[in-house]
Amino acid sequence: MSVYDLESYSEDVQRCMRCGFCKSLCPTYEFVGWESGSPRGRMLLIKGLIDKELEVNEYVADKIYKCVLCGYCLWRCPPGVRTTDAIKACRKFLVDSGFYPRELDDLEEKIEKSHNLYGLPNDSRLKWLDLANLSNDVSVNRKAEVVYFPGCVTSLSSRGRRIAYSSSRILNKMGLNWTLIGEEEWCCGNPLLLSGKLDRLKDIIEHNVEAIRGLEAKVLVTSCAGCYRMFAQEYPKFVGDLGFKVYHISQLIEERLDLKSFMVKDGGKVTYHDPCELGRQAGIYDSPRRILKDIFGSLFVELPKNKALAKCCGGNRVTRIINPEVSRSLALRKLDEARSIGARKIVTACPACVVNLSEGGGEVEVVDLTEVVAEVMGLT
Amino acid sequence: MPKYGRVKDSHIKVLEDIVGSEKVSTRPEELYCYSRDSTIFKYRPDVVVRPENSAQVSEILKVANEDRIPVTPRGSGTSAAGLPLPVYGGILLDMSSMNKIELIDVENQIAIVQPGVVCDVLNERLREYGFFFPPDPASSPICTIGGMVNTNASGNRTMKYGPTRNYVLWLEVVLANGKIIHTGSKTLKSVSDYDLTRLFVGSEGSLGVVTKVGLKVVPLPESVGTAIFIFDSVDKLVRAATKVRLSGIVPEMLEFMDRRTTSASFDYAGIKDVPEGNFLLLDLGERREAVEPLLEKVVSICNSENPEFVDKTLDLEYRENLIKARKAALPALSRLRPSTAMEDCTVPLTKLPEAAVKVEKIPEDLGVEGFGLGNFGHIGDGNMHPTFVFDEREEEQRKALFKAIDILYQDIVLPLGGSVTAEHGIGLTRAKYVALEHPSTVGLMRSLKRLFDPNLILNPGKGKGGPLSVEEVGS
Repeated sequence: MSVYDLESYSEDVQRCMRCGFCKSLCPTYEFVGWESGSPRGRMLLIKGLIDKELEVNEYVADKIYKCVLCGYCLWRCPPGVRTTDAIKACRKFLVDSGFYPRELDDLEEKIEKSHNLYGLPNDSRLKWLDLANLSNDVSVNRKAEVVYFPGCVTSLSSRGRRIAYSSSRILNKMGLNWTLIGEEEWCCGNPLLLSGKLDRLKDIIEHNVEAIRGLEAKVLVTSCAGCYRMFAQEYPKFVGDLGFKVYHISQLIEERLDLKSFMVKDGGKVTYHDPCELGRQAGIYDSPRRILKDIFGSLFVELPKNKALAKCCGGNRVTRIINPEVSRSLALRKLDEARSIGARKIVTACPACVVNLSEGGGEVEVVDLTEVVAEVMGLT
Repeated sequence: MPKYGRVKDSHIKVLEDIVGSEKVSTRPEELYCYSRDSTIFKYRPDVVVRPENSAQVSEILKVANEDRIPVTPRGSGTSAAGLPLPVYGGILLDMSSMNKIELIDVENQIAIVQPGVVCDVLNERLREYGFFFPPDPASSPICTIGGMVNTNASGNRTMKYGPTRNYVLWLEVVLANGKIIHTGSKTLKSVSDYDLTRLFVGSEGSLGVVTKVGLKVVPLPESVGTAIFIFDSVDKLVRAATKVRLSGIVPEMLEFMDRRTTSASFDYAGIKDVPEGNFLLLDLGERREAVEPLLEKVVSICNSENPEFVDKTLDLEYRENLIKARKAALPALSRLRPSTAMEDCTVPLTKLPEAAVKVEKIPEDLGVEGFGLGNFGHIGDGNMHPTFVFDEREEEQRKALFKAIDILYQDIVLPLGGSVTAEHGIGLTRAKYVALEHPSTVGLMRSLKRLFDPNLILNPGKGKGGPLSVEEVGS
């Protein structure tokens, strides 16, 4: 069976005994209201498809594509059902069957033709170097110990680029021998995986892995939670051992920078939003928190729902395309949650969350962890 | 089988007029999803309706009663007894949209809630006032107050606080003919009516549809402390728990899991620093200064049964994870085999060691490959949840399940003077044992059912009012 073949989740959905624990904090169930809109319901729909007790159709597709793949159900599931992977496999099945949101064709075409999710010329990935006057300070496509993989949102969106500026300045401050892979960097493939469009995914993965190996890098670092999870968890499923270690930049910052001397003593409360793909799905909760506690001390406060219980902000690209009302609503709720504890600033560690939350507007400032670190260290 | 009316297009139109078309579904995909609960049984409704208030429920029941269409209410669908499964099809009432907390009045110690309010959601709100609603089923993150009332649910804290019925002061119920009635009083004490409130509590949706609940709420304990023990045998564990119970100390929780269940639950909760074995969890809720000395005392008592591991903690995060593991016992057993069937029995406390040992032997006596058991429960109340693990797709294992259930109730529980359900309800699997346990009142119960629901439309095919055998019900 190939990766994400629906049949390979047959025992998972059988093991779901419908305890319903997954329903309690599912961010999309309440938008749907019907049982089929709960994680438990989705597992039943998938079982129905596998057992041929249900027909594949647009109704099923709508419910399966409503999921934001935040992974709460995966974390909460006592039987250990691979819920999020089952959803991805089902989306692949739906694409193969012709039942999927057509907006995803455009996304696929952009990634296939331009190698980024915006459909921009891929050499514009490096434009941020000029915009931030960093061309002389950053090497591109040279042999180095570390490769920094900004990802599409960080390289190409106006809000995301500020994360590239701060990340590159932080990496320089660490004194690392690092490089970008420039236009050889292709979209990590996460949007395709979340879409169920897997035809070209292996090619993309092989391309990126070869590009990084070609630079003899020992470490890949990224500031994007989605890219991080792709490299750390999905790439090995397709190509086995990568031959380099994968880090999220928060881990390197925690390891290599002493931030206590930059402690901020006023300016109001600061909180942290766990990106789903970094926290619940990859288990990286502590590094960002230690950094923020070093910087903000007692001004750092937790959101009421945090770490594994953190609610998704709705920022993943596929949800923003096919269910924009869900994305916006989840972002507004997250900002409300921050306001409920009197936070002036909400920090996160993923460009997709930064962009989605920023569009929520309001008086709560939304920033990336790297921007906070760069600012307090005077790296701007 | 009773002759029921069929759901026609004209009924769907009327239902849509009552609740709005967006709250009515006949989509095969929805009917498929609503055909299941936590049991292995499958029964599809003809239509799912999601009412939002009592008046809508009343209108729906009037229509159903007139044309004798079965109506099955459902909360979160967590039943381990088949309670929300529409055995004869008809209308499934998904009550989860009725989820408003209408009043919290801690000075009068009452909360008025709609039936779709989730237990933990209510307690999260009550915590802001320093109060809580004590019954604590393992499914508390998702189970609804309506479901808890209809099963007289109890769970982990029953030993100290008692079951749901101890907290239900007042009910709004829609009868089968659509009449809306109110029972009890919104005061802490009242004997001015027959105790109809208690009659509805635990009635499994067979006498009326609960649409509002007045619950007594109580102050949270000042402090909590937890002790855990691992024993090399269930026998020693039961003896230790009995000694604690007789010592005069009243823990909030006195919970156990056998070796297999402990292993699966710890695996889920990521507990690695406690060795696997037969697990006893003891949780105290007391005045701040009393917790530590009492913890010392229970540890000393349990040490007399030579546990292999002992730990005690005041750390809330650690405690929460231990309770999370215990609450996940049933679903975590799905890690062992593809299907689970949780039973629910209670025996006199002194018979518990004998019952536990006999239950342990059921799979061995049946000798069916792939058919096993995990046992856990509320040892402080004599309430065990023997859970059979198997593969429902294998005919021999499926047959073994029904034999095992017969042995459990007919050969073990009833001869020991026990009861065939402590907190989950009769539902589908235990219907045939009602007459065995209650030979002198089963006729009266049936008459009572007909008094409230002459057309037998409310949650038919199960429960106290219309017992059927498992074979009759089928699957």
